[in-house]
Amino acid sequence: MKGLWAWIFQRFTAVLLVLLLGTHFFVMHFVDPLAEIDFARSSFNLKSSLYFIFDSGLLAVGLFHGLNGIRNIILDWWPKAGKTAGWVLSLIGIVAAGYGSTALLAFINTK
Amino acid sequence: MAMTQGERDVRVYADLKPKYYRTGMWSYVLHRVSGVAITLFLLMHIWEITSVTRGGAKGFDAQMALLESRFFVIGEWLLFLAISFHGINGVRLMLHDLGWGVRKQKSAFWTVFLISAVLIVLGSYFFSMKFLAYPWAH
Repeated sequence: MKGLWAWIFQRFTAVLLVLLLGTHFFVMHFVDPLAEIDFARSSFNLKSSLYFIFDSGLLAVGLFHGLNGIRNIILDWWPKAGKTAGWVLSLIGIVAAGYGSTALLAFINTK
Repeated sequence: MAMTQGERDVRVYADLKPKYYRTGMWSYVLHRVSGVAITLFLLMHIWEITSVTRGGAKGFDAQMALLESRFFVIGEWLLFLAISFHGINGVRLMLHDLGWGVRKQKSAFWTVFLISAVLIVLGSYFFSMKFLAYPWAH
């Protein structure tokens, strides 16, 4: 049952990533490829709730999809290591999401 | 190859040597290699963005200035290749999961390959602009 949920979430996050990551990549690289990315611009953008929610979502959804994908590879090749890998990857995901969130908040709070 | 049907089945499923790979296995390998690469990039991306928590606005700007070099523009372009293929091939896999085109997987893969190629050619125009513009005058 747990495996089924992981499978469903992998598809659900995949659909979200096609939309979210597609938009993110388009905005960052194609709208104005020569635009400078600096603190002023990022801070200005992230102070709008749309950007903040969008980037927070991308952080969480991207980490889940990427790390669960690595778990799927481990399950294919070394099934016995699957459980340990699941815990280790969850820990990496939680730490990375937490640390990444501190940056998103810093763009709002740093003067 | 003088093998019975049974022997051939064993070889197809048990032998993971690239020598025996066909279209489906190569798409599987490409999907996974690109997926791992994008995930490693994501972790690096988080590290590079969190420079704002370590060095404030100045630290972030210094980090971004470092990432403007041609070396990293090529890196971004490679990331673009990986994301384009992985995303479009992922749509194919989900459609197969829903039962669509299961018996046409090979032609579906080449369709994915073609769509990715077109997207990559279009997107590469923007990356070449950025590559040629370096070093920037700011």
